[in-house]
Amino acid sequence: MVVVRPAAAGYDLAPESPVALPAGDLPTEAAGIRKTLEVYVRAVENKDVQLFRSVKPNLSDEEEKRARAAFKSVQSQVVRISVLSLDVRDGRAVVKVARRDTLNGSIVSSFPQTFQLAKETSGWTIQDIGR
Amino acid sequence: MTRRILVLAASAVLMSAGAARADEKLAFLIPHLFGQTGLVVDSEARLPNGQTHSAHFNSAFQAEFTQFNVALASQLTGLPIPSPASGFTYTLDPTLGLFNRSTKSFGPLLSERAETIGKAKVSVGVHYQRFTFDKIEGVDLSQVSAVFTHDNPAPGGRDDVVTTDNAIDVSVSQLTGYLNYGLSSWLDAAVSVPLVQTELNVSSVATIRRIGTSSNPAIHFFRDASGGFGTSRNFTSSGKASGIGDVVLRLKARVTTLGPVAVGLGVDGRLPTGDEMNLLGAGAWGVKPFVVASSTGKTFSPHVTVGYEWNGKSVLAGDPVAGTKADLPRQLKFSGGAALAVTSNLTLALDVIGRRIFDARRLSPTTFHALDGRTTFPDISFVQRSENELSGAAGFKFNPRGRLLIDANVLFALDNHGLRDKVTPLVGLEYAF
Repeated sequence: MVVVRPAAAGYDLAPESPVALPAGDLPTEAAGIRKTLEVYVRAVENKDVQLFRSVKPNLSDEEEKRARAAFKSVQSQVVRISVLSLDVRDGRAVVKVARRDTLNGSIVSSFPQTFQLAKETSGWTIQDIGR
Repeated sequence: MTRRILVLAASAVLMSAGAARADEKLAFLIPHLFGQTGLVVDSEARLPNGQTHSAHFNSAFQAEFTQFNVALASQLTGLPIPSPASGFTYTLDPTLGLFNRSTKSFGPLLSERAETIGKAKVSVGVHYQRFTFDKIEGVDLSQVSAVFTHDNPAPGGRDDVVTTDNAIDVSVSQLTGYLNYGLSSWLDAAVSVPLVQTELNVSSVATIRRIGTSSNPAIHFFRDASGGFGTSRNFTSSGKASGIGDVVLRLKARVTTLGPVAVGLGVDGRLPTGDEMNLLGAGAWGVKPFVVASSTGKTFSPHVTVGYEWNGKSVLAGDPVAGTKADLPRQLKFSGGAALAVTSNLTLALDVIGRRIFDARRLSPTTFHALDGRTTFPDISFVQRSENELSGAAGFKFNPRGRLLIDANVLFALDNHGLRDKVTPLVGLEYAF
């Protein structure tokens, strides 16, 4: 089991990445997890349901309908995620983040979020999203 | 001694200047239409003691038509705060991490819905309405017939009457700016500041009906231009005033959601900031708690609101001339309707807006029967009763870009109760930050 807490020094933000990882020692899976979260962010920003499904393959038909409706109702959305902690064990990860979304250029919403991921042959996928 | 005379003279000048200013107020136009002392016709008749006959006539029109002021003030208090455009608010779908518009509809224009605007969100707007009132209690304001009777009427001279054909042309323009702020995700605070311009023109054609003195026109007459015994005279009076109206403060909370219905509670507090003597405000504070229920449907959202308004004392409900105050009538206000999101940027709104005004003096058309037992004239009287007033409203909110909304609405009378405008247009802009 590897648990990483953010260091006081701040975050390791890859160039132009919308997902910032905490500084300090990170599990080897951190890069793969970040890549999945980056795809999630790109799917939200580009309103791409197929891309969304690629990182959350257990998306139900009802959830897909809600996702399409959400994408339709937003003119633009910019997502920034700061990972607060990574808890990786037995091919599963619990990632707690602080998220800041800018809707339609000016509506800003900040809120905590918890992603539960699972490692599959194709890489990390999102199993559940919660507060 | 000289100093005392100077002080008295200065006081007299100030008092007369004050009286002149007071007389210019719109609330005095109808009571003073025929002069400060009312309707007095000329007379050359001498009393047995040799004194000149003072021919003073009275009517409900002059004595009680201050009810018109109350009706107008009541209209000014009835203008609602536009519902904020929560169509621009978003809620988080926590299982997907996606935002969705709270509702596709931009909401009603002249009624309420339970949704709040969202924490720390702000919407501002301005609405312009222009009322050109046409009727009061079904009586055409351009043709209000009233009969003035002689002081101490009695057969044999004092049964003469003066009939009047009165025309009242009144318009009110109201530019209302408002700001709505989300104190929390479920509680909004709002303020509405109206700028009001009221224009009032009153004219009357008074005609002496010599029922008991037909053989002697010198007893009751209007001196005509040639010095003869005329039978009619025109009286006119007009004025215009503008300024801030009554500021309204609001708190509204979305308290619960019952299935597809959101329920809210709110309270409006009206401050008597408008100059009631110039018919710019009600002249009394008002408190209106209300409950609102609205569908959370994204496309079609019905809504219903019920509120009860308590009002303080206003000189408009009392006697503006004497300066005495009385309670402005209490009101039960209700509205219901629906907003339909035709497209993502166009919402149609239809509403029925009503109120029940309790124990108010209301004009009632009557027929005057002269003391000769034969002659009749159309007349008015005033009775105390509660009455419903119903209006319809149809309009739209259009979102041309960003979070800007263009509002347009027409308010139309569905009955003849109260002071009514057949059609009242509204245009406005809203912006949500």
